[in-house]
Amino acid sequence: MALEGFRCKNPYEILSADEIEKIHVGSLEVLEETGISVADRRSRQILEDGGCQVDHETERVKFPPDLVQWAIDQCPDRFTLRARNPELSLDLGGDLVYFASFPGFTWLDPETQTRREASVDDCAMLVRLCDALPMVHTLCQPVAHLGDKPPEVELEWVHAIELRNTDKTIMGTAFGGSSKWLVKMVEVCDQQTLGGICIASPLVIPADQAQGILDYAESGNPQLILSGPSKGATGPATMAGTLVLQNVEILGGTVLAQLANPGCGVMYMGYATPMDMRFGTMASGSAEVGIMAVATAQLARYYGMPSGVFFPMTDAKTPDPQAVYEKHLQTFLCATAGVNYIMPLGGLDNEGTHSPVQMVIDNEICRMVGKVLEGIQVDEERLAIDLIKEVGPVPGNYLKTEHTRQHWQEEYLIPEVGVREEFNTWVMSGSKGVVERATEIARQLMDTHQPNPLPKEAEVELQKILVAAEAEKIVQ
Amino acid sequence: MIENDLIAELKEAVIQGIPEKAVAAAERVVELQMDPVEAFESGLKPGISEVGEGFASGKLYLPDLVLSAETMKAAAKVLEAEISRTGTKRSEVGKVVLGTVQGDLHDIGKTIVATLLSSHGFDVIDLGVNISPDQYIEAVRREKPDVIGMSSLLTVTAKELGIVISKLKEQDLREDVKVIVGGGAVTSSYAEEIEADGYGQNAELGVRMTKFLLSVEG
Repeated sequence: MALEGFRCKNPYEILSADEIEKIHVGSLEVLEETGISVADRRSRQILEDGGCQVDHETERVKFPPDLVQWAIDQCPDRFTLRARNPELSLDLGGDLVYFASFPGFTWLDPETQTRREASVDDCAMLVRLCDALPMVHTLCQPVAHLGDKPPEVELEWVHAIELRNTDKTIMGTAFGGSSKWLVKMVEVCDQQTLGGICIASPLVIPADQAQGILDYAESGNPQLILSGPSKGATGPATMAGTLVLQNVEILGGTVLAQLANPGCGVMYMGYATPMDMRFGTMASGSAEVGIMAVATAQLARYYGMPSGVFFPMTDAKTPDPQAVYEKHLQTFLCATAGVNYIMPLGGLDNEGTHSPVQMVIDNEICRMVGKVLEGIQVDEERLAIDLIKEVGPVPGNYLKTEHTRQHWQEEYLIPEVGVREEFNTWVMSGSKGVVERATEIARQLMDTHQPNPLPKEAEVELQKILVAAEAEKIVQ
Repeated sequence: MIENDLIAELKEAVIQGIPEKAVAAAERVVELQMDPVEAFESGLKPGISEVGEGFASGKLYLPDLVLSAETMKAAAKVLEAEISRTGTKRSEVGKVVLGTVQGDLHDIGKTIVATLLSSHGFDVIDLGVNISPDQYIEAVRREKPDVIGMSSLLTVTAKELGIVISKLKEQDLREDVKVIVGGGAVTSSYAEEIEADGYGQNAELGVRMTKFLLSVEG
C-alpha cells in the first residue's frame, strides 16, 4: 500500500536516444579519465576495493566504465519509501509522480511578508502546514536553519520536529554528519527516510556527503543523489555540458552507494541551475531549469533509476506573479516529463525563503498539474453520445441532467485560492486577491491542523537521540 | 612612443580579457626597463576599472569581468616581480584576504567578491575554499591585509566565522584587521553576534562595506 500519486503515462521528451547515448558515453570518459575527488577516507577505500583507481594523497578517484555499469545495474528501477503510516509510503519509480515541499534558509511571515529566522515552534508550525496540505505527498524540511538551536545540531532538531509533526515521509540530509543521527531517529519511529546527498560541483564528494551515502546505504534507507552544477559557474555554460557533469557526479555517488550495499535504492536527482551573469545569483526560476529537468528524467529512465529534481523554484522574493509563472512552468515540465519526485511546494527566492502562503498557492498549482496528468477518461458513459442526442438543441441543456450531477465532480477541480466568481460578487466579498486568500488558508491550517501524534515510546527514544547528538557534536 | 603603446596595450588586454596578450606586454615593459609602477597604474588599473564600470552599468557580464580580472592578475605578477626587484612602491587602495571557511567548498560567490574588489583597485589575496582558522591566521601574519573577508554558504559551517574571529583575538591580531563576513548562511545579526566589523549580504554590498571600513572614496 502506498500513497496515490499522479501518473505520467506518455512522458514529454526533449533529448533523442542518440543524444542520451552521447551524454552517457561522455560521462563514462570523464569518470574514467578525470574522476571525482572524494574527501572521505573510508569511502575512498571502499571505492578502491571495488575496483576504482584511487590516489589517497590527492583524494582523486577514477571509475572504470565496467564498474559504473555494474553499479547502474544494481540500482532498483523502483523502491518503496516506507512511512510509519503505510498509507503514506511512497512507491518511487515507474510512471508515478509525487510532490514534495521545498526548504528555505529563513521563512516568510504570512501577515507581515518579512523574512524571519525560524524557531523550533515556527518550524513545527511549518511542518504542520505540510502535513495538512494534500499535495505535499512527502516532505523536504521546510526550513534548514533554526535560530534558537546550536548550528551543530540544527538539522537533527529540524528532522526531529518533522517526525513529531507529520507521519508523511521526510527527506534526510548529510550536512555536518546529520545522516548518522537521522537514520537512528527514523528507526525508532518505525519508518524510513529518503537520504539526501549533495555532490559539490564540479566533481567533489565532500566528506560528510560521502559518509551520508554510506550511512543511508548501510542502514537500508533509500537515498537521492543530488548534483547541482550552476551552468556557467560550477558547470559548463551549455546545457548539454552541464547535463554531462551532473550525470558524472550522480553516477560517481551511485557507485559508492552500490558498493556499500548492492541493490540499495538510489534516486537520480538533478538540480542544475544557470548562474545569472549580471548578479552571480542562481537563476533558479529560469526556463532552462525546467528544460534540464526533462533531460534529467530521460537520463534516469535510461539508467532504470527513479528520478527527482530539487525544484521547481523561483527567484521571486514574495508570493507574486513571478513566483507563480516560474514555478508553474517548471512544475508542468517536470510532471509531464514524468519526474517521479518533484519539489514545488513553498520555496521562494532560490533556497532563501520558505513561504506558507506560497505553499497554499503551490498546492493549487500541483492540483492543476496533477489534473493535466490525469488526462481525459474516454468510455461510453463519458462520451455521452446518447445524452447529447437526448438533450438535443436549445432549449435543451445539461445542467438539469442526472449525468451532470453524477460526473461533474470527478472531472472538475474547484480552486481554493483562485477567484472564479463574477466581478460584483468578488467586490462584495472584499475584493480579495490570491495572496490574501492564500494567507487566510495558510493561517487557519497552521493554527488548527492537528497531525497524527508520534507514539509515546518513539518520542522518548527520539529525545534520547537528540541528547546524544548534542553531547557528541557540541564542543564545550 | 613605444612606452605609450605598451601601456595602451596592457589596458586593452585587460579590457578584452586576454591573459597571454597582457603578459606579453608586461614582459616587454620589463625588457625595455620601463617604470613598472607606471605600467600598473596607467595600464592595468584603468583597464580593470573600465571593465568594472561596464559591469556595474549592465553592459558587461560576469564572464567578462572574471576573465579581465584573471588577465590583470597574470600581468600584475610580471610587473610586481619587477616592482619588488627595483624596490619601488605602487599606491594601494587596500589589501584584502578572502576565503571560504573550513568545511565549505562554495567558491563562486567569494570569487565574484574578489573580482569586484580588484576592479575597484584593491589588492586581493584569494585563499580559496575550505580554509581552516590556522590558514586565515597564517595569511594575516604573512600578507598583513587591511581586511579579511570570510564566506560561508552552509549553515553548519557558519560557526567557523566566529572561530576565526576568536583565534584572531587569541593571537592578538584582531586589532590589525577589519573582518567582513558574508555568504548564504550568514545574517547581519549573526555577524554582529560574532563581532565582525562588517556584513556583506552580496558581492556589491561586500565591496561597499570594504570601502566604508577603509574610508575609501567612491
